[in-house]
Amino acid sequence: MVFSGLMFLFLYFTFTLTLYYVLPRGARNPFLFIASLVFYGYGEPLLILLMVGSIAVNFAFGIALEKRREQGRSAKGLLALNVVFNLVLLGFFKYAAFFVDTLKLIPGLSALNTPDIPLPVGISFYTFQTMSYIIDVYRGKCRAQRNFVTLGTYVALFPQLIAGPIVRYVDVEHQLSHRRENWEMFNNGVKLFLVGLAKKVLIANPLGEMWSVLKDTPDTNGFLGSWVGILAFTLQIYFDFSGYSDMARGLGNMFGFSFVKNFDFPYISKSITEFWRRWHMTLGTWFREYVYIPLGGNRCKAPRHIFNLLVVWFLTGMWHGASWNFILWGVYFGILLILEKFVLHKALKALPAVFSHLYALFFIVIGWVLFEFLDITALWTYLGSMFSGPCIGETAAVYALSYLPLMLVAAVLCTPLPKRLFLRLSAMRFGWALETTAALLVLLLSTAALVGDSYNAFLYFRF
Amino acid sequence: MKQRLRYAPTAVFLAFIMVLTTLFFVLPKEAYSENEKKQLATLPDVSFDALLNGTLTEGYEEYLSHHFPFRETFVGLQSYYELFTGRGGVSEVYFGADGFLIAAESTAASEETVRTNVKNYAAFADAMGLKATLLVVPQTGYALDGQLPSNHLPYHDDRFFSAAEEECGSMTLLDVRDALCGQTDCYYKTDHHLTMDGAEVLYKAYAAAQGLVPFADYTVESFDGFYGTSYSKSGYWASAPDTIETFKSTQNDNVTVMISSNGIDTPVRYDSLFFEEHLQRMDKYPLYLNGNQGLVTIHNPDAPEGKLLVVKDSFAHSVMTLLCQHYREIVMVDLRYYSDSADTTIKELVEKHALSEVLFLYGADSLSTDSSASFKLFYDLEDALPD
Repeated sequence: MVFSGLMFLFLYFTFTLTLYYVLPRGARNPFLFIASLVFYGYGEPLLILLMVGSIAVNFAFGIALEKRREQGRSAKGLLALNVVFNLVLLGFFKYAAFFVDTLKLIPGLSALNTPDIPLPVGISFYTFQTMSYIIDVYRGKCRAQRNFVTLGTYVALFPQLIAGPIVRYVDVEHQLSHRRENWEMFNNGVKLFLVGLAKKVLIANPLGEMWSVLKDTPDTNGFLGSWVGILAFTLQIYFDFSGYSDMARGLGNMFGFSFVKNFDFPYISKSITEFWRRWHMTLGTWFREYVYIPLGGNRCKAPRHIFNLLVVWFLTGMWHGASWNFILWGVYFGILLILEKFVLHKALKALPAVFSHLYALFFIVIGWVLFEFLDITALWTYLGSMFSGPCIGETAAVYALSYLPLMLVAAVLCTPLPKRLFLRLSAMRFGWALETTAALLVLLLSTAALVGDSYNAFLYFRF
Repeated sequence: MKQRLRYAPTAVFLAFIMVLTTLFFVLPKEAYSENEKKQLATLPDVSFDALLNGTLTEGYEEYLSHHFPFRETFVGLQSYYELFTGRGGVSEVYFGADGFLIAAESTAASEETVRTNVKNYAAFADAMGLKATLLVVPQTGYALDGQLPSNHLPYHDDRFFSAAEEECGSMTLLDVRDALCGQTDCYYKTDHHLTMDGAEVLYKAYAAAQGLVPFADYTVESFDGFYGTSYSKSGYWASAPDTIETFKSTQNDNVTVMISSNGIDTPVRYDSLFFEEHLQRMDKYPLYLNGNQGLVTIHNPDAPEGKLLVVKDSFAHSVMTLLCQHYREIVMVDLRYYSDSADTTIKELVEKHALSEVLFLYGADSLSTDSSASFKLFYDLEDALPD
C-alpha cells in the first residue's frame, strides 16, 4: 500500500488510527505490528511470511549474540553469520537476476536463465534496519529485544516500512516500549504528513508526468527541452522521496514515535560533500556507521581512505537498484567526493557562493541522468541530447511552458525560505487560521488529484 | 482557547478523513457513470486465490475510486486547479475561447495508421469494383485554431490528409478543410463531432462530387442541454451545454431504418432517423441513427433509385440524415462494431445489396488511431489485401 492513495488515506489509516487510540496501551504494539503486516502484505500477502521469517531469525540472533557476549565469549562468528543471512536474503530477492544477467556477459555462460524474482517492497529498507539492530546489539550499544512483538513492531512499523527513513534500532529503542502519545506531537505529525502529501501528490506526481514524456523523446526535445526534462526529474525525485519521508515522520508522530530527519534542503548545497550530508541522511548515516568507519574511515593513509570511499559509494550505488547504471551513479559520486576531499576543497571554499552552487547543482543534475536510465544506451542518448541539437522541440516547448509555474514554485520550495516565512506567519496571532486553511487546501487538492488520476506509482519502489 | 486553536489542523485533518470514510460507507452507490459512459465497479468476489494474486485488493481499490464520495466534484476541482496553475496546455481537453472544450490530438495518432487504413479502403474498393469516395473530417482543434489556448500540442490533420492523398489510389478524396476552418458553427463546443451545420458542409461537398443537387428545405428543431464527450473528459463542469438540431425533410417521411448492433443480432426495424430517447441523456449525439452500431440499413422509398455503401465512424451519423434523401438504400457499416464472426462479410454485403458505390467517412481522429478495424474489409477477400 502507498501513503498517497485513497485506500491508505481513507480506509486503512482511519481504521488503524481509531483502533490504535481505542485500545489500551498494552495492546497498542501488538496492534501496530499486525496493522503493519496488513499494510505490507496488502496486494502480496505472501510477503508477510518473508517479513515474519526475517524478524524471527533476527530476533533469535539478537538474543543469542547477547548471551555469548555476556558469557564473555566472542560473538563475531554469530554476527558474521547473521550479516551473511541478511545479505543473502537481500541478494536473492534483489540482485539474483542482475547477478545472472552480468554472468551472461561472459562468453559461454550466455545460455543461463535469468531468474524471475519479484522484488519484495521495502526489503532494502528493512534489511538495513534489522542489520543495524544486530550490529548494535553486538557492539553493546543496545540490549537485545526480548519481546518478539516489540522487535516486530520496530521492523514492520508501517510509516517507515516501504521507503524509509532508515530508522536505527538504537534511536527508537526507548520509544518502542515507553512512548507517550500526546496532542502536541500528534498535531505536529498532522502538519508534517500534510507537507509530505502535498510534496508527493501536488508537486512530484505532476512533474513526473512531464518527465515521463520528455524522457522518451531525447531526439526531438532539443537541448533546452532535455534540460527542462531532467530538471523536472531533479525536482520530482526530491519532492517524491522527501515527501515520503515527511509523511513517514508525520505518521510516526501521530503514533507517538519520532523519527530522525532524512532530508535537509539538499539542493542548496555548495558541494557534493554537502549534498550527501543533506540528501537521504539516514542512508548516509547507516553506511558511515556500519561500513565506512569499520573499514577504517579516514583515519588511515590516503590510498586506504580512497579505497574506503570507493567501496562505500559502490555499495551506495548498488543499494539503489540492481542495475549497472546505479553502480555508475554511486561511483560517480564517490569520485567527485574524493576529488573534493583531496583536490577541490580549498578552491570550492574560495569560490563565490553562486559558482559553488552552480557547480554542485550541475553535477547533481548530471547524476540524476545516470540514476534515471537503466539502459546505458538510452542514458548516453539522453545525456548527448542535453549538449547538442536544436534549442527546443515543439512538444517539449508546450510541456515546458505548461509546467513552468509549478517548476518555479518547486524550485523556491527547495530553499529554506518558504518554510521560514511560514513558521514566522504561523507564530503570529492568527497563525492557526493560516495553518488550518493550508491543511484544508492540501487535503482537498490532494484528494482531487488522487481521485482524478490513477497515476500514483512511487519512484522509490524498486529499492 | 488560544491553546486549543493551535490544534485546529488536527481537527480539520481528522474530520476530513473520517467524514469522507463514513460517507463512502453510507452513501448509495451509483451503478453507472453517465460522464464516463461505463458501468462502475462492483465489489470483487472474495476468494483465497484472488487474495494471493492481488486481484482482490485491486478490485477494492477500483471500487473505492469509482464510488468515492463527491467523485465528480473532486475530478472537476483537479481539472480547474491544473488549468489555473498553467497546465491547461497539456490537458486531454483544452479549455478554449468562447466556451469551446477541444480534445487534444490523441497521442496514439500516427500518419502510418492513416496510410494503412486508406490503403485498405482503396484496395477493397478496387477488388470489389466500387466507385469510391473518401471524406476525412478535420479535428476541432485543427479547424478552430482561433478558439484554442495559445499553448497547446500540435494537430497533424494536414499531414494526415497528405498521407491519405498519397495512398488513396483511384478513390476520390474530398477536401473539406477550407470549408470547415474557422467555422465555429460547424463544431460543437462540448463534443468532438460536427453540428448539423457541419454535417451540411460534408453533405454538400459529397453531393457536389457526385453531381447530386442538394436539398435545402428543412424543418429545423433544436434541443438544449447537450453535454458531449469533450465535456465529460474535461472535468470542466461549469461549461455551458450545446444545442443539438435535427434537419427534417418531407423527402424522408417514409424512411425505415434496420439496425443490428454487430452484424450478428437480428436487425430491428425503426420508422425514424432520429432516436429521441437519447435527448433525455447528457450525451445526445446518438439522437442520429441510435449511435454506434455495427450495421445499419436505411431505406427511403421516396428517394430516386440508388444504393450506397458507407464505411464510417460516428461522424457519418448526422450526415446520413441528409444524404438519405438521395438514395433508396444506404448500407452503413461501422467496422469497429461489426463482428468478426458475423455470417455476412463486407464482401457479401456488397454482393447481396448489389452495391456499386462506397463512401468512406471518418474523423481524422479514428482514421489516425485505429488500424485494426479496416482489415475486417478483407475477411473472405484476402487476395486483395495490400502489401
